[in-house]
Amino acid sequence: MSSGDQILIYCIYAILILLILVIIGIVISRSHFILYNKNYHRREKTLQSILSMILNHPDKKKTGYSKLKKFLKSDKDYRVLVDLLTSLSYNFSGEYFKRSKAIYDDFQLEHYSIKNLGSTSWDRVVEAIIELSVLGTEKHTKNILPLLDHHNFHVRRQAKIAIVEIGKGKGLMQMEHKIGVMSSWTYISLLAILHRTPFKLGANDLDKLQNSKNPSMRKLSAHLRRFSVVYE
Amino acid sequence: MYQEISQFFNYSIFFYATSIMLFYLVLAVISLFAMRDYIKQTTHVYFDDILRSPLAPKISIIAPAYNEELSIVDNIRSLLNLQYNNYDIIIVNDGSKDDSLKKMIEAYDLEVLHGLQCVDLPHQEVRNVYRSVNPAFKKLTVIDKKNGGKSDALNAGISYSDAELVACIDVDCVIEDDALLKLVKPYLEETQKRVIAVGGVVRIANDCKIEDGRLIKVKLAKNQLARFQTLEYIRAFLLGRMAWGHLNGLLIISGAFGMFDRKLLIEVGGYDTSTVGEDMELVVRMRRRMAEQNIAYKVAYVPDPLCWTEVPESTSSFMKQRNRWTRGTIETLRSHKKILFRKKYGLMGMLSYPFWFLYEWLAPIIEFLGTIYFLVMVSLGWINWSHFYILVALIYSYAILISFLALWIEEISYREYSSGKALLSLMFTAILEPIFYHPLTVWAAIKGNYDQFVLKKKSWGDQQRKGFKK
Repeated sequence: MSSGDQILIYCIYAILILLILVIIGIVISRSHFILYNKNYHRREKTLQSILSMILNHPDKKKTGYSKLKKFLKSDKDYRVLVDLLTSLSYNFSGEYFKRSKAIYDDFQLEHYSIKNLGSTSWDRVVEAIIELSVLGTEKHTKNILPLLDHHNFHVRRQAKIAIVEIGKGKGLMQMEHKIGVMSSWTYISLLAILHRTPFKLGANDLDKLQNSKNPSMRKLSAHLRRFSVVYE
Repeated sequence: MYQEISQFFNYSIFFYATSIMLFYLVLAVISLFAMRDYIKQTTHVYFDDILRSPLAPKISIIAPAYNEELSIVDNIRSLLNLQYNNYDIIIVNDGSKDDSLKKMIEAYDLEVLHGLQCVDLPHQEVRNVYRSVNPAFKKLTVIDKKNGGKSDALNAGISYSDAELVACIDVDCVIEDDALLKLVKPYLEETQKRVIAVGGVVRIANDCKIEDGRLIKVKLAKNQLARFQTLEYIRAFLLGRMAWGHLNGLLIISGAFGMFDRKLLIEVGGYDTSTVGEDMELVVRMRRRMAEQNIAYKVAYVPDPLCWTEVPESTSSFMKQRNRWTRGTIETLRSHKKILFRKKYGLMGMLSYPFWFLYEWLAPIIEFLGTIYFLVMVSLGWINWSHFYILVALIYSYAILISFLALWIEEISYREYSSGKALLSLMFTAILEPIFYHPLTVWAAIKGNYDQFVLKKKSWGDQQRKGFKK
């Protein structure tokens, strides 16, 4: 056997090792999916029934809370709860929104969200921003504002949207000088948020936005001048 | 002397094969990382604001239809229910010989519309433009024109559209409800470059459960040829195009489902009606225009399965389809040969074009010539059998590795074939593919080259469809 053939045989060995690794990868992915999904759905189902009790029957709040406390053992459980509350609150309004937000506040779940804002994984940061924008209050704007300078574009975008989601017109004014380049996605999202909840903008504020050094803000303010309520 | 010639051939083929293998391995690794990133990006995206906003860019869905009377009404119904606020549908009846037009008129209360403005793009004469009198179908416009082929029909549709973006689709495809939202996302997100086109993933719908033009349940095709194509599509879209999309080097957007910047499309003169590879040719021409004008641009790619199509189940239809694809590739590469290794065209000129030229066009030819060369060597008794077996083992194991890698990416991303049986079938298909399916694709490509250069064939050829199961 020539040395060339010997090299080829080593290549075949390398490919076979890679092949085995890939097969193991496929098996692990499938098993993880089956097990994770099973666990996640089980947790989610239990949580949903507890939340349903708290949200639909305020008189049973105490029992619901104690059940919830018993259920929340690990970080994963808290994670599932925050995910569920975020998605419920995103779709709720009125009394149901208030009740689900109360759970978020009473169980001090904001700590989980705020902790994730400092995560090295940018998707975790985005997740946390969304949680705070849905369930947080104006005080959380200060936690999100520094993220306008984050190195990741998705984090910056979500931070802009969240600040306006939380603070509406006030939020817009707070980030006026820091908004940077704005994509059409951000532009549409900001306007959608501002139109969803009626708000008033002071004439001075609107002038400030219109004379902003930032072209994105000027574009936005031109639209707001036409459609938002301006008071003197 | 003969030995030197033989050695030269051996080494040439060996280096060529090694370069292909390395290239695909690199693409696979890029795809893995790109997919991981994409999944992160899309996990926490709320489309609601875009979905409801009147400020979202208008999209015209343009679907050419030719003799589609069996499914046209259902397919339009599914298009009318897509999740997007600002879109319309333009069906172009490309001189159908059946009752397609009559069925559309009856089902959607269509009436002739006069005095519509249109831009000048090359297409056959338009007989009539119809719009529904029923407000429920106000999004629908039907153009009835003389037969001129797919690209001709698309041009007619584009010329009557007034939208910012056009999504060109095959009317017999099943489009996912959120397809437009996902396709428009890269267009809305980009701030540094002009997004000129966005490509989506096409998946195989044979034997899937489809009701009223909607995909209800994904099932693996029962026909083995369709299964081979299923695996090939997964590999092509999740490995190849994913990586090229990440590198901004895509040269093709599937004709079954792609979205384009209409202004630029009109600027470049619309689809080329003289080629059978109109989808690839258009993307290359649009990219060329942007590069020549020194405008930063992007051809984006969305790896979500957004469009489901039927693939041929008979060998003859399959061969015809692949023959046409080969001719399309040749025509596009030849008509844009100027971009090869020209720095001005960036990645397209330095990498994408050479890749397509060397590994898409020439690969089957080299493989075919290699087989002939091998047969000659066998007949002369000059074969080193141990070397031959080692080479075959290397290539075979590598082919399986790449297919398995694609299946792994599918597994960590979309997992469309959720049953364990389907996964095992696909793995088994990957083992059989190099022996039974690959030679077919090579032969179709050789015939395509022959038809292109010797017979000078230009036609599309008929494609027979089995039709989706109801």
